[in-house]
Amino acid sequence: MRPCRGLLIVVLLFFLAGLAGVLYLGRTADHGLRGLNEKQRIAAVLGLSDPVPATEARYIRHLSMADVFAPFQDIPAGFDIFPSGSFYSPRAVPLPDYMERGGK
Amino acid sequence: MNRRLNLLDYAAGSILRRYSAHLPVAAVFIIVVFLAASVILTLSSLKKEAANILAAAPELTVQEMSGGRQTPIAVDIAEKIRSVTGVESARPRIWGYLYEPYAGVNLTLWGVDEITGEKMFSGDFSFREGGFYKPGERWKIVVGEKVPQALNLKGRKNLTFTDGQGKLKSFEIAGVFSSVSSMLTADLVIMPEKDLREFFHMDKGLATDIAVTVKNPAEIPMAAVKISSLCPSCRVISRTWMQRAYEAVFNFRGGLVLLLWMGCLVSFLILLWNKGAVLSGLEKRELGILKAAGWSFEDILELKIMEGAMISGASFTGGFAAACIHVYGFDAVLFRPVLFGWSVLFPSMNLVPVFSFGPLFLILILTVLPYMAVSLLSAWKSATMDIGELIRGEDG
Amino acid sequence: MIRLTGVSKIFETGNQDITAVSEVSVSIPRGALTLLTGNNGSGKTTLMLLMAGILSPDAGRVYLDGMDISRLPERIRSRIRRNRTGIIFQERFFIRTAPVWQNLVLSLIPTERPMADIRNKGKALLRRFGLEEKENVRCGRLSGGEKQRLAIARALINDPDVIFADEPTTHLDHDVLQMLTREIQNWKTRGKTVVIATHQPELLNAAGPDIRLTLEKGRLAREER
Repeated sequence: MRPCRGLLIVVLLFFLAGLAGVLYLGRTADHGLRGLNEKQRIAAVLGLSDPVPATEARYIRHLSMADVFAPFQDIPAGFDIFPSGSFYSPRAVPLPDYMERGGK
Repeated sequence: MNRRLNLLDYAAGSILRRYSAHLPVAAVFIIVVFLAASVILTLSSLKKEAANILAAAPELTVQEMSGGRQTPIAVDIAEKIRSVTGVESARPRIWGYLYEPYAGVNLTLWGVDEITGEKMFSGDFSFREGGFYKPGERWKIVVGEKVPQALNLKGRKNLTFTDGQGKLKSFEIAGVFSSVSSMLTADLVIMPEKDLREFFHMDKGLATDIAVTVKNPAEIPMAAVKISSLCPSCRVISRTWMQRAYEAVFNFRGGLVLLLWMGCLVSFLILLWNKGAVLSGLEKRELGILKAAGWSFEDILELKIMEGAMISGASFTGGFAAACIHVYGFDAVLFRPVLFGWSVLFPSMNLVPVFSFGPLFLILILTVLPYMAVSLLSAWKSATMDIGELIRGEDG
Repeated sequence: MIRLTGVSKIFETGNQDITAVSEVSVSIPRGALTLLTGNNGSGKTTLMLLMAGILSPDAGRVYLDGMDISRLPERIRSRIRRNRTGIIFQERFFIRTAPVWQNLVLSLIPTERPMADIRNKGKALLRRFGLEEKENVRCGRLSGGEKQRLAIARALINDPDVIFADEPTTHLDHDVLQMLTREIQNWKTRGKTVVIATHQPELLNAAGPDIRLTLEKGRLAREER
């Protein structure tokens, strides 16, 4: 390998990576911006107040429903200690049969 | 200038020549940058996302409280709220949750009155399949992008939910929202208000809560105070609180990840220190040869700085590019459980790139700077070494 | 002109100090061909490296054209190495993973000459030593003879006034030896000062040495002019 060429290859790779990055970001940015606009319009028409980063956990899904105090807020078997309760589903603990209602 | 170019050329050649020696450090470097950049990019985009959605959300949400718990609110209160100064509109909303035990998923059921239905039907929104049901149609629903998959519908259009009295109600899917709006609609099931009332067995005079819009931001606090005095049993939630709560949640979780990342960073620094503190015999000999060929201390130092800058620059760019692809291309899939907690449905995020230079600059300083420092240190050590020491063993 | 006055060099190896060169005083006029001979371990390579300014003496002084190079700062000594002296090292003194041309032109890289120039100069030298086809081969792949030729070529890349050689005759086949002899004669006619450390001085008789210095245990035992 000729290092003259080596330098050229390194510079070229940088350039290509940069170009690809810009093109890629440009594309997603365009897509995303359209999305932002669309989401705003839907929220306005429907009167929605909460985004959906995740679906089940109330501390993140429906903040507008938040209680100032929250004993047994989600489910009786849930780990209601903040960090763990937010990483593990309460379904890690078996629910009583009547709550499962035929589901597993 | 030519001297610089020649040295640069030599440095590039020497890196390519000994790539196997640089690869492990570069790999760790890339991982460290990737992790931190992923978290920071995700968080800044999410904050933007939340702010964007909340900007269109109603300024105030009024809920009825009974015994410290939220209960349905009387629709009449909306009329009283409309008379408060600054209030532009007050819409009673019918909505609630439905736990679907077979799929183990929690859906958000959302009722839409006729005027809103009209707007949704005629508006220009993107759907993955179908569209909004025609105004006046009954037992039709429009669902979020992830719902059919979560309920395992496999293309079926009809589905049944069990209502509060154990009776089955069947619905037909008229449309599925596209992933573009997933961050807002992923778990929604939208249906006519009348049908939702029936499904929830909710009286005509009641609603879940009341969404209040106030045009002038300066009037929001005053309006909130007036509404709570009009309806003492009501709780008034303001949009600003929610905004702050989202920021706090994201910052807390991002901080948690970055805390773990600190461990990564420390091991990276230890690795660097180790590498810099010990010069291999091969490196020593190469430096000895360069010195014997008449390279000065400055030449060698410059060479090593160039090598370090190329490796750290390439690793940083590489790690950052990987993070961009991970976050914007793959919805930060590696960090979702940590950043958002557990969830049955994860919406497609389609995050918008947001670059905040502060945090990125911080990563740059925390990784590139130590790398350069260590390569400088080892270069300094070797450049000041006596040639006799570097070529020891050559003496007859 | 090279002049040494009372030069000594001591190497510290573990718990024992070895005196490689001890109180050598000698002067070599410009344009002379000098052979440094002696048994293995007699200190001839060390003395040569001291003259070339690569090693610094622990006692005494080394003058090159009246400049006390043993007291000069490293920065200036490296410039002298780059511009005025060429050294033919033993064969293992190459960057094995780098290509032949790069090993050849090392001392020209940190200079203001454009790379194209440097490469052309390298090519010309490679042609002169019959290595033009090996230009892009890694040094580790060269045969012993090729490495010897490359070592000679490398010492000439900067067109030096003073040429040092460390055991250039080891493992040399007949053709290369003849070539080396011709080169040395050529250098002499062009007025270059040449110092060769070798334990086979008889092989270089044909080149017509002016001075023979014999070392024994680091001391100058005999000086023939």
